[in-house]
Amino acid sequence: MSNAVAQHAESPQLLSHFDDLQQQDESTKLGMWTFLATEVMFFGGMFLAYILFRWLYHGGFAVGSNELIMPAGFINTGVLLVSSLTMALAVDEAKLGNHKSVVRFLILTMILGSIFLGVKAFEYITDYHENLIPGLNFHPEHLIEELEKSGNMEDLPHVKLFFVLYFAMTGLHALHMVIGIAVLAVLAYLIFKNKFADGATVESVGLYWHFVDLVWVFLFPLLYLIDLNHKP
Amino acid sequence: MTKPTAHHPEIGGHHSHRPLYFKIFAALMVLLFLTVGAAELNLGELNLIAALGIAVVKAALILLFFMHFRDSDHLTWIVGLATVAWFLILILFTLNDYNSRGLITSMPGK
Repeated sequence: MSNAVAQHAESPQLLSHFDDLQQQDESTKLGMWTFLATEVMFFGGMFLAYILFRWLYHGGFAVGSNELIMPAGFINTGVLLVSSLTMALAVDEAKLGNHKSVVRFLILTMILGSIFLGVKAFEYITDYHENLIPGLNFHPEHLIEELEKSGNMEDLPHVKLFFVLYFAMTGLHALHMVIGIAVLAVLAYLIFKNKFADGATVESVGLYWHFVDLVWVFLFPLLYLIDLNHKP
Repeated sequence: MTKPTAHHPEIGGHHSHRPLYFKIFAALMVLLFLTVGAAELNLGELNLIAALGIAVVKAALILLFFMHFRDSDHLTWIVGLATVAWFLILILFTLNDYNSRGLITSMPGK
């Protein structure tokens, strides 16, 4: 008992309901892991829909996939991997107590995240001009012509389904990026203002960022790559 | 800045993992080029397997090293492995359902 009182007296950041800092830090991280488990199920439903419908309607999905700008997806994967590196370095510096470096790496991570969103916006705008957005303007003339020529017009609704899933999955992922950048901004500001220095919290935000990267690591091959050779 | 109250169980004992992170990052970039290269080749069914296989390796590198899953305690491992298990139930059971529909054509009593 007196030991616990001493623990709390010497560590002002130790919250009253924890015994010591190690328990507090482990709980912080476990909370984030549990949240990420729910995120896996959140994205999981969409991955399931994609896997299932690609299997059922492979022709239409291959046509849709070939409409995407693969180099943009490639660049974005690279950008996200670099951002994961800078995030890992931020966590590393946080554990070493180098607050200035933490802020620097967090800002770098935010810039890379913004570049990703910029490239994504460029892709969405291109899709808009090619009339590929279901619910808004889905009437891709060149595709309809091609499908008519090859006698695969029955694939058109499946191409549309591909784009529904494409926008739902990449949109949800982009939303996670926006939230991630906002969280990084708050974290960087608090560390910069010296109001905040908790290594476990920086690491938890890092876990979230890496998770969003991890989702993209699967989205990129599934959406852009696997049907590059499957030309109708 | 480095006041003792910022004491973390890993501080003091913590040494920078920076060289490791750069190695993992280099491996991830190599895998990224590999997956795009493999996708350009016409491998038939292998295209899908190669793409997903490389994605799983990349994910494992991020998870184990960037997310420190490797150094996490047992409780975190349980949460992580349960997540994978539930995700696989979601995917595999549903695919199994769709794949087996219509397999049983004559059922006694039906």
